[in-house]
Amino acid sequence: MKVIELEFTKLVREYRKTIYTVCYFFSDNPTDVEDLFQEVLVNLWKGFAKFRGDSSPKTWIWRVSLNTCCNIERGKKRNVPTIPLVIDKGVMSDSDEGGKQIKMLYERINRLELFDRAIILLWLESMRYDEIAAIVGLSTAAVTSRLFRIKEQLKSMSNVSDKS
Amino acid sequence: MSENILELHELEELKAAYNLMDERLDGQEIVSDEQLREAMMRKFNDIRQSTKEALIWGNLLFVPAMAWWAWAIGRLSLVGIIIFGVYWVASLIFRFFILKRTKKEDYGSYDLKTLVEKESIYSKNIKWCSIGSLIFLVVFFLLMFIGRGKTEWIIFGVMALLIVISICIRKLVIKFKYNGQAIDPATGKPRKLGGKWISIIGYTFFGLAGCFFLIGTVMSVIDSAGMGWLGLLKGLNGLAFLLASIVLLLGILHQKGKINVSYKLLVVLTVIAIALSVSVAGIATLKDITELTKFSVQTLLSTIAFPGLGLSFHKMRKD
Repeated sequence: MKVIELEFTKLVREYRKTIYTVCYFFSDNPTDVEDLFQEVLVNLWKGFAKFRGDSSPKTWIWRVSLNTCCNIERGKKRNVPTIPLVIDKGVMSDSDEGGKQIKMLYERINRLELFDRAIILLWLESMRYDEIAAIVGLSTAAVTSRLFRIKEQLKSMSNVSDKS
Repeated sequence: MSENILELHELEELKAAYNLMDERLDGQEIVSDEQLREAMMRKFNDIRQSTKEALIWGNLLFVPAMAWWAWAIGRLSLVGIIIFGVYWVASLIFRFFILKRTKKEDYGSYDLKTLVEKESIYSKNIKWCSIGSLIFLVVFFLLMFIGRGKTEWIIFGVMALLIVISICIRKLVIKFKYNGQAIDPATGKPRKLGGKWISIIGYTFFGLAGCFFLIGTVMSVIDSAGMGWLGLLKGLNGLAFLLASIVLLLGILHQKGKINVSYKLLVVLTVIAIALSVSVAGIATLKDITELTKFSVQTLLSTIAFPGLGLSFHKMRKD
């Protein structure tokens, strides 16, 4: 394996959870997650030679993952073959209380528009507003107001589910 | 600060679920060696080519091929050369300078808003190029009626077909590649692209273009200096050779990973080319048209050899 390939492999393994999380929240079903994951990997690899550390690897990974998933959108024709992920399928099942919580999170985030989905994921990742702004390309003020609106939307979803 | 804490409190349920998911993923390997190998291989053997690239290569190769065909059957005049030339150059400019898409390599350097803006601009350009092509086509048809009786019918027909094929491919690109949607950068909401009117106009023009193409072809055969069977057979021979060449080119482009073409399509084109060529050779022999017999045997050989090579190239791609 070449040095660049080793470096890439190391980076992807380090940030595998980030990539998976983004793909998970932009997908419709487990097969979708695998397809999106592969698409993100391809785009990461394509851009890896150009990545010179202008931003942190974390920011770069988030940016490529969100850009890829947002751009592909759901229902689009995939360009890559599906390769199964090495993950315990039970991790995301709603058989226990924790799993139910994760499913609830998924359902709410999945109802948001693509751009909002990206912003809320970055917020859940505890990124600073200026970091979110840099990744999505909005001003910090715009991110703040947008986040406020998204949170209101999430809260209203919460109220609806509480009533039902 | 206090506002942030309040927000966190209200949405702590979501945060907790997110953190829980993060914890659960901690012990998971997730990415396999196979996935990494597949991703890294694609940098060098990039088969993720869009219909747009097929269109680029299709147009750039198809226009000279059609010009050659028109010349072979004696229908290419100076006006035709100019029209083909202008369209070919316009295709080059449109494809390489106007219809530019974001490169996947740059996904890490663009922020999300810039990316969706660029993609939106690309989609808009596709739309305006289609409208521009339609206007061009209308002017063409008008010119054709003005120039009625002259020898440019077939050229106009071919041009009309080319333009309409472009429109159809663009429509397919929008439908399948973008799912008929683009993200509006201002709102972040998906926006529907294209409309029914473009389909109606597209199909109408497709029908008209087909008719004119047929009229042009028939006229050219009838009008080919009173050559009768010889004119018709020369035309069919040219068509067979053209199809064979297309199969070879498509096979090479597929092998190089520039486009994705189905093997079945190449086989169908090959069968048509060989059938045409065999018919020409048969009729030429039966009618004892010595001028064409030798030439049609050569064409027959090339209609077998070229697609043969094309199909071999198609099979050589490793994916």
